[in-house]
Amino acid sequence: MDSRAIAPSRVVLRVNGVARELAVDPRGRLLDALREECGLTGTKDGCGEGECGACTVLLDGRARCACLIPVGAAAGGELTTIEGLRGDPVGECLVQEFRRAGAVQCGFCTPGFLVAAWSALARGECADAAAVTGSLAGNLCRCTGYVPIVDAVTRVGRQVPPLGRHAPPRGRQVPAGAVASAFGQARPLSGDPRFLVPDTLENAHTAVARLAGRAVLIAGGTHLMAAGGLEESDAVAVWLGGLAELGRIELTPGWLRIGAAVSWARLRRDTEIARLVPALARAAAGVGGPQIQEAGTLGGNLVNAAPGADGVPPLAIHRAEVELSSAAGTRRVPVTEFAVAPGRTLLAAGEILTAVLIPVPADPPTDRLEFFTKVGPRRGRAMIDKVTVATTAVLIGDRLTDVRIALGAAGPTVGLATEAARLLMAGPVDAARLAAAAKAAAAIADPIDDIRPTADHRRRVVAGILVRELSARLGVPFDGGRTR
Amino acid sequence: MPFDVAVRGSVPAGGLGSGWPGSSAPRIDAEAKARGEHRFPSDYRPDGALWVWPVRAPLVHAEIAGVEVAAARAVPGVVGVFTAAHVPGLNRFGLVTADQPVLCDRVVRCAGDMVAVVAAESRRVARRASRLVTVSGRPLPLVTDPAMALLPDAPKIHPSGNLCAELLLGHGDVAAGFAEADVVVEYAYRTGRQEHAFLESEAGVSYLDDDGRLTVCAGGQNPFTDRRQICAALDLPESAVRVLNPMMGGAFGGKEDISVQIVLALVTHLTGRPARLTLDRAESIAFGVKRHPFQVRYRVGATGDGEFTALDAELIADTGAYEALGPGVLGLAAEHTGGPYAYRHARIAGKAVHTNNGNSSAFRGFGNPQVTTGIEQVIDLLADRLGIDPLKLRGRNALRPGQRAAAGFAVGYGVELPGVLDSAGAGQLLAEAEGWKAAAAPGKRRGVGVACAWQGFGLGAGVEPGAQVWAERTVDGGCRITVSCPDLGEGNLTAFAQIAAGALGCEVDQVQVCAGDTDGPDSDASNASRTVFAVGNAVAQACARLRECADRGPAKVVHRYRPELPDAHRIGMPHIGYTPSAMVVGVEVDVLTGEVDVQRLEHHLDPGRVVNPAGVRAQSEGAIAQGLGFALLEDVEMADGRVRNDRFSNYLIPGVADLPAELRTILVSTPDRSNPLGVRGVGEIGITPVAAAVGNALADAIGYRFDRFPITPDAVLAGLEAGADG
Repeated sequence: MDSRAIAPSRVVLRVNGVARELAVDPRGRLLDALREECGLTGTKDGCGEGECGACTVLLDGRARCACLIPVGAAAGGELTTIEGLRGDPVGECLVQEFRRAGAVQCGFCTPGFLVAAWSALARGECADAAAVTGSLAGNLCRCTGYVPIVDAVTRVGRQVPPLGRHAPPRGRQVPAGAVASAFGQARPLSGDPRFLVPDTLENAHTAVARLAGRAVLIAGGTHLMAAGGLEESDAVAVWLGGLAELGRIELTPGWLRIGAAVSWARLRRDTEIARLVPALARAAAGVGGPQIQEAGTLGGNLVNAAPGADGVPPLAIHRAEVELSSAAGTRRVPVTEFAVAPGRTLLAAGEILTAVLIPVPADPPTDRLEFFTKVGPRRGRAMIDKVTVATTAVLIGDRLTDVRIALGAAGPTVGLATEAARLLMAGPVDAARLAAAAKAAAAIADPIDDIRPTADHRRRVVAGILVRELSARLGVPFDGGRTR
Repeated sequence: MPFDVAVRGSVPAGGLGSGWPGSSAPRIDAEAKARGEHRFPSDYRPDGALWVWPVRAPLVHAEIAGVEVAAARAVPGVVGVFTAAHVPGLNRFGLVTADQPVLCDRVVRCAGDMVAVVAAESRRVARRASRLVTVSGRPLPLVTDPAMALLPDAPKIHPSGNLCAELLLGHGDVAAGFAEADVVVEYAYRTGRQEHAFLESEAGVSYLDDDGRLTVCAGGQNPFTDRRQICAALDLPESAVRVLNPMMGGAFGGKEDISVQIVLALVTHLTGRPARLTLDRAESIAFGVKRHPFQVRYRVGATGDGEFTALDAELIADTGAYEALGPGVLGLAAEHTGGPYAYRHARIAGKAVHTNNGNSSAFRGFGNPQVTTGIEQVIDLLADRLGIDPLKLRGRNALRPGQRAAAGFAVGYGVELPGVLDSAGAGQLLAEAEGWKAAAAPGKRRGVGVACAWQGFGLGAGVEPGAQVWAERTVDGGCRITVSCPDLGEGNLTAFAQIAAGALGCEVDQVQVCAGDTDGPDSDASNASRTVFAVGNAVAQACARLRECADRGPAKVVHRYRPELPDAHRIGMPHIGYTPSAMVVGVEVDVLTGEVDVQRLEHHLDPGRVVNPAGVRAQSEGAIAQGLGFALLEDVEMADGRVRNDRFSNYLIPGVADLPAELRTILVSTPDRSNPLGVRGVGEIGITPVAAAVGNALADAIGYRFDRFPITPDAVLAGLEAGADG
């Protein structure tokens, strides 16, 4: 079957409170459906990979990049574009403050900023300039230098209380506290054989088996859509958003279970994650801007198996396992073994990664020292040219115990700095011990030698991160190099 | 965010009414843009438009034998596949020299060269068909290093060779100058290949209007130069074509050269149908023009009491495959080499060299950032050797009216550098510098650096034509101003509305501004920091004449402002005036990871009379952001003539968290004497001194000076180690 020859089926999207029936390939970009089919050109195409935020829309009240959403994944949801903010009190306030602050120059980025700001304001995440800066980390501007944009949103933040709800103007209202995410909510099926939305795991397995290699599993879909999507191919998208169990975070005796389709945004805010796996919460907060955090999933991150996958080092230090489910049953594999090479994992044909399981002791130590640090040339959103280090330890007296260190983007797969950990545990912590452990961790880094930065540089940064973070947390002074 | 205006000299006339010159009137276009209602060139969707897809050459440097399009033409939904044979007129374009093929016929010289263009009923069909076009030919040896390109046996990119332009400027006898020096400093460095990264990529549409006239509506910086080149290619008289440049999503010099305009016009001309083309981000970065990477060597001598006696500079610019604005960039760079200072003797040698590395052309600053990066660090090195305060050393040598710049021309009215130097010297950042640096946390080092800049505004002697505008009183009693220079995002149209309101004695919202249309007057381009100066003065004078019209009814004034330009020392040199600035930067370095955090920045600039303070601040800050990218982040990496990082995920531009927590623009306003309004251009000045200021601040922080820009964290770590050893 040449799926390109199929007549487009009818997908129903609710946009700005109005139901629209569109004849489009559901695997295509939501951005194109909005601009071309709906004629809503306020949402802009700036980069096609979720980096610039010019295509930011609200899906169920949350800021998302429309260039990264397959149309089929938006069906049944409540979409709001910049045009839909007209008449909304917060939207109007934003327009006037942007105008007053001189925050509009060429104006191409402006709708994306306004929509992203609306979502952050709804959540009460614009209390001050620092919070606003975090909320706007997913949007690029080339004209203004950002200062008046931050000023404008901060001013709105002072005038407008959190809305206490997650749905945009017009359309269905969802209380802020509801388990609201793209996953777990029933979606009307489009009826298009190119985009399947199984409602049970069993149906998902059946569909994947039937499609014999043509199935492409999508959770957040960010990686797939940024790489060009499926429109040009015969592939059938099997969207996992209809599987409620993949969207749950559950604490069971001995294990914390995270569904594969849990988004970074939820990982960042979940209280159990913060308590038990703080490095994962930290990684989630830095994986990209808010739009990426809302879309990307932990399972997708693990399955894509990029050397710099931010989810892996935090899970590795907690000895996490992944659950792989097939029609034949389930099996578990340590996270550290799951990725075998960049882009390749142990996932067999017909298998779906359904959960990540983290062993949790009956009474976790209260004075756990843990961090996840990412260093790159740009603050807030290093995606490339980066190095990550995750570390966990328990300080007892003047000694570290139960130390585990994992490196990301420092080799084809995650690196476990076992010698460094051993050195740290071998005696009282002092500057010399920290330096030796840092050196040992750097030694296991095996990154490819890009033109810039070199493998040597990444090793130095690994060592630098460990010295910096451990010194600060342990109050151990370090020799920061000669004084000028 | 702090924003200071210290007004010295005369205060702008007028002042009643909220929009008059001198007030921060909001942009006239802000609301429509904020609501997503403004239609950018990429938002146009004419009914029945064909989707245009350029087919790029598969090789970077090659001789073409044939272009096979039959398979592509056969795809259902394809309306046409056009090659060089379909270009009716001159199959070449270029702003100064028409040397770049519209569609390559014989030779491909860079990755962006087009060999064919597909027109189809849908984007998907156009893309699919484009992949079926095959090109046969033989590869030619690649030239990717400017130094190698100049060797006698280097492969020739053009029959005339690889030297695109060269110059030798200066005055006096540098050997004698160095003999007079007590201290001599040398500094060699290279700057990066910066991408404009406008948020809206190159885009436009073309169609036949109701009268059957071919109309192109695209993101461009001068509708008249667009039209000239379209007409040459299509062999049409200029009256047969109309070009519109609506407000677009940024340009920064990257939309001066033809991008989509000719192929769009060609498709409509050959098919009779509307056509649309928007480059995706990867195409835009991979194939659009770039800032010239420069290799520069400076040698400067000074006396023991700090007088500059000699400057010797060599500039090599990689201009890529075609001329574009290469010679102009080299010329402006040479004009500004040495900075706004006097030297007893000077020699500046420069070459713009062809390579197969894409194509380089205009980018905000136009060669000046590349040379200012060097001289402002050289001055710090001299200051250190001489034991003289860096600001005082600059002030001591600042060009006075009538003195000669290093390139040999006299600066007529001077450069007003002392005012911004004084402002910087009295500023908060320098006052707090020692205490701030001492407060650095363990593992961090802080440094403070200064750099000055001058940036000529307007197109320069022998080039700047001034501007023609229309001022009309409409039937309903309002006013309409018509100019051709488009608003690229910099807010020039708002400034014109304010100037008109001031001249006519009305409110800003009673003024309508039309721009970017060849059916209007020729105000020349939006570039070169010229529009408030050249077009603003034209608007002011036109409105003054309109006000004098005795007739109270509808009236129209057609007016040309002819600026009084100095004699040309060389084409484009000198400029009618120069905008001065002094920048102070505070950086913090993480000695363990090499991360650089620019935490504080003050930009002291003298924009002349201020039409809109918020507008000046906006230009300052936006340019500073690009300057930080030029200094620390941005570099298009080429391998064998192809761009390796063609996405925003791997070509990094500053994000919201990358700007300094404290960013202040301080205006010192002294009217410029070169023009009646007393204004200076401010579009570019903000980008020019940033890299030097950052370089000086890093040298202060870690005792190491960098010779390659952008300065990335790996270089910083290496520098920290070298500093520790050295």
